[in-house]
Amino acid sequence: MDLVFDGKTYSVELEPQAVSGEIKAKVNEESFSQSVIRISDNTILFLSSDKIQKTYVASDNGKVIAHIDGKVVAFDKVIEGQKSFSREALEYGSKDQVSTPMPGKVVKILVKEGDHVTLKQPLVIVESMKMENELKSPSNGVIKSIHFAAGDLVGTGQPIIRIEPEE
Amino acid sequence: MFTKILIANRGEIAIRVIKACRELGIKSVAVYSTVDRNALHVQEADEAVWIGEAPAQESYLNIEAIIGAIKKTGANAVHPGYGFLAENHLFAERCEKEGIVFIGPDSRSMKLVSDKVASRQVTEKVGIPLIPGMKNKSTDVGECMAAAEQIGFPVLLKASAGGGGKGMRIIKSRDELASAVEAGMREAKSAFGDPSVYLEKYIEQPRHVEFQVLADKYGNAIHVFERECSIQRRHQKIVEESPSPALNEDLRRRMGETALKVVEVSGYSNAGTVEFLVDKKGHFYFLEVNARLQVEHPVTELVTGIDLVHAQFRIAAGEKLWIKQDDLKQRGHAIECRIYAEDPENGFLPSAGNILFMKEPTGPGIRHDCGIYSGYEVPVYYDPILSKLIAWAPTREHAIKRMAAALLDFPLLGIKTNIEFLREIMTHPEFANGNTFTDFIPRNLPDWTPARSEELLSQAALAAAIASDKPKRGAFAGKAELLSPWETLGDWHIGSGKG
Repeated sequence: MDLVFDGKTYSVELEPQAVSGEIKAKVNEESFSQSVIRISDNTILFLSSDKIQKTYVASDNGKVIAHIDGKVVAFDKVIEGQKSFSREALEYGSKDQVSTPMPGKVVKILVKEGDHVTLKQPLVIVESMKMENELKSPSNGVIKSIHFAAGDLVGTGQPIIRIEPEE
Repeated sequence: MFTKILIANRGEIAIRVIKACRELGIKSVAVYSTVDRNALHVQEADEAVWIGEAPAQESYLNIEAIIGAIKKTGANAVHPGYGFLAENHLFAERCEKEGIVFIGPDSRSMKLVSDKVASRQVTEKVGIPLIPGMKNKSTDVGECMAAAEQIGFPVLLKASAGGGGKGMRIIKSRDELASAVEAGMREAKSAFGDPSVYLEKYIEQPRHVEFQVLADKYGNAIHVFERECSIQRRHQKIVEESPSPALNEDLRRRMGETALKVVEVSGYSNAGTVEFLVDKKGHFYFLEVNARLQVEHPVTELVTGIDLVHAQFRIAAGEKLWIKQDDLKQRGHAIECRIYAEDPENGFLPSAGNILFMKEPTGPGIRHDCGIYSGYEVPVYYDPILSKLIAWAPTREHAIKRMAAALLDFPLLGIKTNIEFLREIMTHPEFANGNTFTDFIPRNLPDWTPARSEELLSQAALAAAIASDKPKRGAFAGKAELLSPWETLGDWHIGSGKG
């Protein structure tokens, strides 16, 4: 199974051995051999000689989330024949456009087409959950196009501004 | 006492009030918007009334719909929680006209204390220390510019009708002023319906210390000690504690007396909070009165043993204050962490979505005031607060350890939260030392993002793969999946004599 976190793929091969609760696995060619107790759908224990590692997991279409030692890692599941679709659908965090990670209302566009902008320069203000948030430029570049105006409602991942990045 | 109370709010605070009703044998009525049909407060209440569509203006801020729900259900009092209509004096006034008890101050004193400018004028007269600032609220950039020049930069911009940091901005120089005032006015208008702002001198590295007060309708008042709420992100409190590590007995006594004087001159009754800034030399300045139950009220409850919601009910029902100042003591230490649906990796932008799995923290001295559950869909329309985790222990050091441990074992999966960030604060040496100033986060944790070692990621990937693997009975199952006797014993009938 291929899992993607922060652009990096983790290929996991599981070789379950019946009855004992021992599993052998490979994560990106690194071998693991651990005792596992599946407590419930959401709780897994990893046992080693000196440590019990309690891990919580949850999954939703295309996403698997694990919680270890208070840290949360949300993976995108790569299904065969499909690219990592959830990332592609969002296109959030790309260098050539600005979008909002959640629905909101465009309050103010701070730039116009053709403007030269610098990395982290505020480009647009979007209001979500009663808070105004400045969305900042992901790169140095020129504003190529603006797709929304003040007062417009904007959905998750919809490009608000496109940028022509320059080095 | 009341027989039925309607709670004009949602989320964890509505549930907090519903539980108080249940303890006192009072029927509770929840109100909900269309997206909140499945919300936890609806499940917990005795009755629930739909009040409108998802946007708050059409539901939780809709005075007509809420008054209608009160009349329809025959509730004799309304608890407003915090936010929404809690400090809307027009709502309080309307309740008074309709003969409904508003559990909070009367509309006249609420109007006075909610208006920061008017309350400054009243308190200044009786010698309560104030931060230098504008005498009047404004919606004019030019007027703000002139005032800022007179006060001297840096200045702090605040929404006149506001609270909770909405619309608030630090303005360091004249160049920043115009755009900051415009943005502040827009945010104030959207959050409170009133764009008026005002400016005051910005005090660097202060602490935010507030006093909880309880006042009855007959002029008797006590303070229930302080809470320190200096740990803030963009002027939004995220960690609160009591007692404050910065107060000694003398300062606590003087601030408490000042808080009671503020209550007296404003004719305030019911539970309220008097906010102060304390500078590094121990000078304190009165900021404002919050005319409501505060988000952070549980820390006071845990160190004093007073149930503030019960107290609100009793005062609203006309009881004379039953506690004397001298009978009150602070016992141990309590800390609250606010759990928000927000994404620390993306500038703490609010996050919404489906909670796939949650396990609530428990343990000695742990309280979790919670508005969510596994399977709940967090809507985008409201404040991103999900719950509040509160830890009590005999000492501050111990309370910090309890809180850190509780945050560690608190999976809340499916949406982004600030839980890991809060644990970073709890384990920070400057927090342990009590160096809690309002610039704690920009100073100590600027641009914080969660660290993920390769080892952790591999282990997480392994867990994720195991979880996604279709469980086959017996295959890598481990002890917990061994069959129980009930599944293997066969055809037994308990108590069956027929054979």
